[in-house]
Amino acid sequence: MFVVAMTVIAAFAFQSAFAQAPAKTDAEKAAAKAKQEQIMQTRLQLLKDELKLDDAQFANFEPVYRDYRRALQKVVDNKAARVKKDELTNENALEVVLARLSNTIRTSTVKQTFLLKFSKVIEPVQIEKLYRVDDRIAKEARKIVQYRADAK
Amino acid sequence: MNEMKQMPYRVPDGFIEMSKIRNRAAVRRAATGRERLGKAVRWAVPAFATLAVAICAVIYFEPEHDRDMKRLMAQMETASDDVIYEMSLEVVDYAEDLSQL
Repeated sequence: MFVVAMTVIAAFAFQSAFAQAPAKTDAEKAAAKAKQEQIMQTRLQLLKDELKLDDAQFANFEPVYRDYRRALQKVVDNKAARVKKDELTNENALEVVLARLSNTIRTSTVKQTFLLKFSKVIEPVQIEKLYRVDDRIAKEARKIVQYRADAK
Repeated sequence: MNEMKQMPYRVPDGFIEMSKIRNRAAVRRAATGRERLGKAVRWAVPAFATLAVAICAVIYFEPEHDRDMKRLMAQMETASDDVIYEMSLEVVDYAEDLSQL
């Protein structure tokens, strides 16, 4: 009886020690998806104005851009690269640096791949501007990440 | 007239005429000054009004892409950490100015 009780207690302790972060509820997932779509709509409008696309060009451009964004989301590694400076140790530093370098390489590869796809719907000068605007948005996101980290 | 001839001090000859001449000159100068001021006011008021309208127009007709960027920044600031972090990982640093290569 004592052994059974100890086994049960040990099982609970084991489970709590290796407990995963609480899974997002369906409502949270839906809210996150809605937010991403809202940002996507604004990005598309911004790009339409920046690249001076007419309605016909924009209709061809939008699906390619959405594919491009999905491809980028697949390759960026959110978890391994996301380690704060004060959490870096000799054990995890190489892994973190490797993850960040991999992000850069994979992102560049996606951008290279989509050069040809974009060239079918917009001019080369517009592609350069597109990547520049996207880069600017990513840098602003980086500032927000830094600001939130400093605020904690 | 007799009272005037009996004034306690002697009025210099031609004094009255000279005073009239000087008065007329002073009135002419004043009129010219008023004219100049009037011209300046007539020119300055429309100029400043035009400038004010131009400034208001610049503010009102802000470029579309600037407004879109501001709207995007506002949305990003309320996005979750995961969404923002994902967006920040896309940065690829390359020289914007080709002359730097």
